[in-house]
Amino acid sequence: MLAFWEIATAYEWVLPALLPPPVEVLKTFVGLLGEGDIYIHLAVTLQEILLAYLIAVLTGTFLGFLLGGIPYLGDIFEPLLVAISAVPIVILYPFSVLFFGIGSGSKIAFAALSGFFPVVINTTWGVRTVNPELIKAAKSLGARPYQLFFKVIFPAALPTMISGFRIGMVFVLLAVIGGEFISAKAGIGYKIAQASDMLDTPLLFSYIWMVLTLAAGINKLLSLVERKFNIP
Amino acid sequence: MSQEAFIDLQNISVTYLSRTLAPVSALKDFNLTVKEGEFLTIIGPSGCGKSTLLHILAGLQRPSQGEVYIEGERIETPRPDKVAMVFQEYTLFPWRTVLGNVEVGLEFKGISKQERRERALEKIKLVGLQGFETRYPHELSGGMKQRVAIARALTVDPEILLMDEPFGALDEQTRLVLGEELMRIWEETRKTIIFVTHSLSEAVYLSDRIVVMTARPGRIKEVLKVDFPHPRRPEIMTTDAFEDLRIQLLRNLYDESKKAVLQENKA
Amino acid sequence: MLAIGTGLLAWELICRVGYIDRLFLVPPSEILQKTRVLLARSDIHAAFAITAYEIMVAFALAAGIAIPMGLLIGLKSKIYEFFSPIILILFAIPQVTIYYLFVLWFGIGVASKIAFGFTHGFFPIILNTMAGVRGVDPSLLLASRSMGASRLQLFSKVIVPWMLPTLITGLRLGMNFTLLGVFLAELVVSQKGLGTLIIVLTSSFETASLYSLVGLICILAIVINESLRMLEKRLGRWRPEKVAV
Ligand SMILES: Nc1ncnc2c1ncn2[C@@H]1O[C@H](COP(=O)(O)OP(=O)(O)OP(=O)(O)O)[C@@H](O)[C@H]1O
Ligand SMILES: [Mg+2]
Repeated sequence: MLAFWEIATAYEWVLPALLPPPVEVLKTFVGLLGEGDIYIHLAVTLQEILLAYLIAVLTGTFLGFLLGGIPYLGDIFEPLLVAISAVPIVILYPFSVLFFGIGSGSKIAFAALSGFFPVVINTTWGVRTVNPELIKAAKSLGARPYQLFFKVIFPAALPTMISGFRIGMVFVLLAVIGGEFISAKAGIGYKIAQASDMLDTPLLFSYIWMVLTLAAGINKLLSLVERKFNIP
Repeated sequence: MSQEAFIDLQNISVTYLSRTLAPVSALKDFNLTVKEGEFLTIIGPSGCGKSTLLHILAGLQRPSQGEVYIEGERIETPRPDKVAMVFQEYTLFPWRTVLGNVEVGLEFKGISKQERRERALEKIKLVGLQGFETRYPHELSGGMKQRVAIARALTVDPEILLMDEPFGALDEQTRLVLGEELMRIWEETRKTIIFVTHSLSEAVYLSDRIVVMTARPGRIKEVLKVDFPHPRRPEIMTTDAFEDLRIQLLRNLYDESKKAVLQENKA
Repeated sequence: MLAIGTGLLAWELICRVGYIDRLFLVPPSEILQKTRVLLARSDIHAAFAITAYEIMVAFALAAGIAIPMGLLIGLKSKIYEFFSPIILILFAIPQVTIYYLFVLWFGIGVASKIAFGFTHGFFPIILNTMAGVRGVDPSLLLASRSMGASRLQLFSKVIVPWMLPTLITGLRLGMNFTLLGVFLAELVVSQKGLGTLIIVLTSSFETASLYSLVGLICILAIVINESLRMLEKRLGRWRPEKVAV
């Protein structure tokens, strides 16, 4: 496929501006790695992703357990959260910039909010749908409240939660890169926007390649964590 | 090759091949003939190929070797005009009402709505579900669901009814009641029924003939004739003759079941 | 209800007392007033029409292509095993990275927004269509075959009814993602549409109008989502509830 790509571009079947030849992308990419600059941007993006994801998972899980554990609260807020999650969250990004400025703060807040919804919704759902018979059985075996939580509810809800964590990561990544792309001063998304403006496709593709690697890497990491906890 | 045999299973062998596991020989050289109007029960240890056998009779799967004939015709595909099957799981359409479920076989045949409705209602009555026509499966008890499945099979008016552990998921009392109903329906319609069960008393109570199968690969170990007169009612279960037969069946089955369990442990 | 009322009152008071810069937070009364003004402006109507058009075309394309593809892939185990991981990975990639290509191919007008909305809406729909087909109870298919169902009948009377609720879920999520894609595209580069308006309001610091416009869009999105969710529930009454994200 790469060979085909190379040939297609060498003979200019497609405009090089649309699809640069792979060799050129590779050259640019290697050149990029030689510059120190890119690592700073990479670090900025990674930091934003990490912090946003941490916030999303921690708050989402905590609130999810709260809403899942207290039926009264769950009845009110679960449908509300599901409804709100329909909002195309990107239209809230301008507010994030308004409140937190054009730096990392706005990306983190925006991405944390994006990732928060799938986490909280799935956690609530997972906790609410733990088989009640299982809980009764555990109680009859003399499980104390904290044991009930850590040995029954938590493991039973975990698979649903994990799928929320995964979707949450997709959203965080999208929000960080998207936020940087729309308005920022640093980060991979920002560099992509710059390359786009300069119509520098080899450079653009190098950055895209970087994001793909990042996405794949994060995905792999999540899979490893799941495997570690024996989650199918 | 007896000409008069209504159902004729000739040298049936089934081997399941798998990419990862060793091939499983489910049935080996299985021969059996069934008379028209007979109530035949197949009993055998778990995994001996009973369901496989019924699937072959229903034309849902082809044997690796051998042939099946019904009234002299070779069976290769489902023959809904002749054969209907009741499965162990209820296999009801969850989005259809009781009536919709009972009608569905006729719907597949393209029979008019009017006629469908009439024939379905008649069978719903036969299994004692009148008043529940508009209920959905999730609103029914297990026993009721299985009645719907039986009504559905009867509605297409098949000559042969295949029943694969139809009462397996039910409690003992419900089983008894449905068994008695099935007996009544059989006495009324005299359809040919091939019935699979794990319950010894159910087998003795319902059957004209009981086929005991060996552990995998399934073959016939023994055929027992049951000739209690009809109409049969559950009271016969308390008689000595009934108990004798039941014990005879148990003896036949016990060794095979043990083998089957050991087989499973090995696998 | 009471909680919301109290919240609004508190919000109003905080703003009135004036601890917070008007640039960030404006009292609800002012937003309400601005909403009335906004709803009467003809340029808003035009922007709304354009964005709505983009969304509808993008969504129709996404559904029209993703559903048949999902069916095709879902019905054949071999094809499914090959494609489903690929589709999942593609879904996980932030598409803004290639937004530039969309602009190059489709220009900065309506077409690139539609294309971007399409590629966002496409994935949830195809994933749910596939999941719906794969989820069909095999014993039900077996029972139907034993009753003589033809291939067409298996499809129309077993597979389709079975997957319908899941499909609606897919359409609902697809709609959410289409909205996301279209607004994202409009926020990045555009000359018309509601996204452009958001940018304009942001850069001219018309905070009250911004709140109002964004609020209106949110309400619209929620209404669409909730109606589809109701449909989903109606069609899925026969099945145990499924995860709703
Ligand atoms: N599709 C299949 N692929 C591979 N092996 C199969 C398949 N279907 C059945 N088998 C195997 O063939 C053997 C016979 O299966 P079958 O379902 O016919 O048994 P059975 O007598 O109905 O058992 P049970 O009493 O538990 O219902 C079993 O060992 C089973 O594991
Ligand atoms: Mg079986």
